[in-house]
Amino acid sequence: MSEKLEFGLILAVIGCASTMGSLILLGFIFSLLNKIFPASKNTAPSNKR
Amino acid sequence: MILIGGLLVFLAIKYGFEPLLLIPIGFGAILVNLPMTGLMEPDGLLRLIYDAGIMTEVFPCLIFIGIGAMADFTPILANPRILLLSAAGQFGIFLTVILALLLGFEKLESCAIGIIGACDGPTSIYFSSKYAPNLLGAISVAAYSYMSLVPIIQPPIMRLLTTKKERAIKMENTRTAVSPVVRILFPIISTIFICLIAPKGAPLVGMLMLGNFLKESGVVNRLSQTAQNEMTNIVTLLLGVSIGATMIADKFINQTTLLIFILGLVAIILDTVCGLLIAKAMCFFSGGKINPLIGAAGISAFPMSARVVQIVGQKANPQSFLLMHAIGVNAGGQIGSIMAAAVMLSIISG
Repeated sequence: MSEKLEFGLILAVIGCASTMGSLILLGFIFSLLNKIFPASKNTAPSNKR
Repeated sequence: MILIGGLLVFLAIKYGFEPLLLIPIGFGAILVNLPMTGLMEPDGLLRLIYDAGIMTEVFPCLIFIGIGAMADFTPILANPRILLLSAAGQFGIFLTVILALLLGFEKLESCAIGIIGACDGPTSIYFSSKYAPNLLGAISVAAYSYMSLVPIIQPPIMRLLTTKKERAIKMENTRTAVSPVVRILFPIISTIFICLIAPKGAPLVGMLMLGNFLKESGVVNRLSQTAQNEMTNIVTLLLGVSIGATMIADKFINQTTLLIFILGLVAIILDTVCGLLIAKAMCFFSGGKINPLIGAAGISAFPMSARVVQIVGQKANPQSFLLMHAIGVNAGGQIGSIMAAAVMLSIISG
């Protein structure tokens, strides 16, 4: 049981940290991309496509 | 077992509980429990579909292409900070794994049970078919049942963990416009990023983002429409019947199934609690600008969870409109649940 519990605790710590860390980093990347490629004022879809 | 199949069909027809899945699952359960049909014998029809689609993990992955093509991630891209809440909404998965281990489940089975907390049917099916095929029926039915019960499960927890003053907080409108370049880059960058961190999650995130890329590229409308409609409908039908076919009486009606249902409920409750607590912290540090209720939308049950946030928020303050904020957190929850599953897969696989 202690081995299983140890596995669970390691999984929980690494899992929570990795999920949180990677999503924060992903959010940061897209914040930067939003600054590099700002949305144009006219967001209506173009008919030219 | 035929009665349980009938109950699933009844719930789907009478109360609209995830009918797209529960109708084929319920019918499959009835069919497979009829005596002397041999449908799940080595040459049986349902065994053939099950082996081809579930055991190979093809069906859940194809469903992800459809989900990706249907999903709109613009609210996250417009306000990427809310991904923090989407991540917090997955913590219950890992806490439930510990509970399942304490209750005597094996390591891989515990992980498969914890994933129910993601409120994400295809991820649950993918995970359990890979690591706990003996629990596939119970896990799938629990995942889809609880997804439809989110409007009943979440509001009491939301009221318990927030004060009326917090629930009444009005949030400022955020911008919703995002450059088309960012929308096109999103599936590509997300795929590369998540696959580098958790490579074993590539089938899940790769297919989800492929579907989204088909849509956002704007030049393959036929493929995008097919992924959203025909393909998803066909696969959903076959997936549901295959899951129903695993619900054979002697394997389904037992204590293990009951424990899975209880742990699944615990997982969703813990996810909601973690999301709300992190949102409360954000509310505190932002000087009361963030309504903690939106933290409850971090689970992947899209868009039910966001609607629940809107309803509970409006009860506290009729002038509060939290839907767009909650939709963003909820859409992020879809990525968060896949990320959590991918991390878990990578840890398990070493």
